[in-house]
Amino acid sequence: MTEAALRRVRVWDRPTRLVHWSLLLLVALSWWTAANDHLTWHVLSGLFILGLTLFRLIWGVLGSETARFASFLRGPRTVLAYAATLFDRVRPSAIRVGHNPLGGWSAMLLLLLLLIQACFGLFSVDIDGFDAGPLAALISFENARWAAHWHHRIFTLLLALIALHVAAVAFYLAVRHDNLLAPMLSGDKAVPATITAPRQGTDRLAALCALAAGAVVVVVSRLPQILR
Amino acid sequence: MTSRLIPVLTVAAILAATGGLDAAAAIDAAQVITARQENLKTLGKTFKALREELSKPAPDRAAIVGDSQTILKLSQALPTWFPAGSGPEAGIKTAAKPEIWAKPAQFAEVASAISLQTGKLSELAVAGDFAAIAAQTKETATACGNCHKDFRVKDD
Repeated sequence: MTEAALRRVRVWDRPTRLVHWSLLLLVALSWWTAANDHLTWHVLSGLFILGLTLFRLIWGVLGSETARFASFLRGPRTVLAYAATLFDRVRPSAIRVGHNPLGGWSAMLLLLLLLIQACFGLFSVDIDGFDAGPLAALISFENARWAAHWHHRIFTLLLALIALHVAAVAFYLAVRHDNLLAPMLSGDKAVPATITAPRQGTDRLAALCALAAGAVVVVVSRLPQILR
Repeated sequence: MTSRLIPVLTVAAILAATGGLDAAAAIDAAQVITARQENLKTLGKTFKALREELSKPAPDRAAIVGDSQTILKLSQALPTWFPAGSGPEAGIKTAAKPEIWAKPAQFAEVASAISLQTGKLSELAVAGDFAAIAAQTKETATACGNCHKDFRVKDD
């Protein structure tokens, strides 16, 4: 198959890309605000991360084909078979759209870890009992400190997973000559004509999902006031 | 003979004196550190309770006065919680940095800055101006943080 036989299709829809890059910025912001004692902003940033991960979970069920968990979470046999071909250079005929079997689990793991991290943050309190997540008021100082302790630990784990993610993208470019970064920026990828373009979710549906996720975050963050 | 004996006796006297001082300053490091940690936890716990009370639509003034009194008393006693020998050299897990004992003047300064703020906090609590109390909790937390920045090991 020649290069000429490739055509560009939309592989990552707008909401998925927006969530991806927003999460990168917000994780960086969360780290910076925590390191520089801007905890009010840290809490806000964390709430946005919670909202984005919740949206992504909903979008993983209702969204575009490549965003759906059912399309990219594969069984162990598929994952292992794929891992065995990891060092092969990708021929145009082997080009795929969406997550590969390893990348799918990597994305899922990152998403779940971000969700867990945000939840621990909701209950965390600092050592002085001054800066706290919106749900720390529901639990004791000791338990909120325990949450903060794990909030720190999970961040280290998260950094390791992000490093692996970036290393994998670099590996795909260097070894497999497969540029994963460009499609996550533009949304499009050149694929053989034999591959059908993935079905896309509408922006209206995405807006509804975002609204739902946002509503959940608002309710969660105000739970102590609501329960009062 | 006498001239050679004097330095020996002097050294012996110094040794005896410092040994004596050591004995006088001997502390139960485990007990001191545990008590200190309990007190600091009570401070954090009380501060959390105070802030949560203030965030209610109708804060309970008596509770706020009580919390601010607890915070004031503990913070005034704080400088006495760090006797020599209760640092990391005691071999017990503590977040207290050796700088507390290496820079006693600086430590005394940040410690007294805390009780200055908690003093204002308790005065405002008695006066019952909730907005002013809330603003003062921020000043107090900054004073706590200033001490932690230089004298407390960061959480892992």
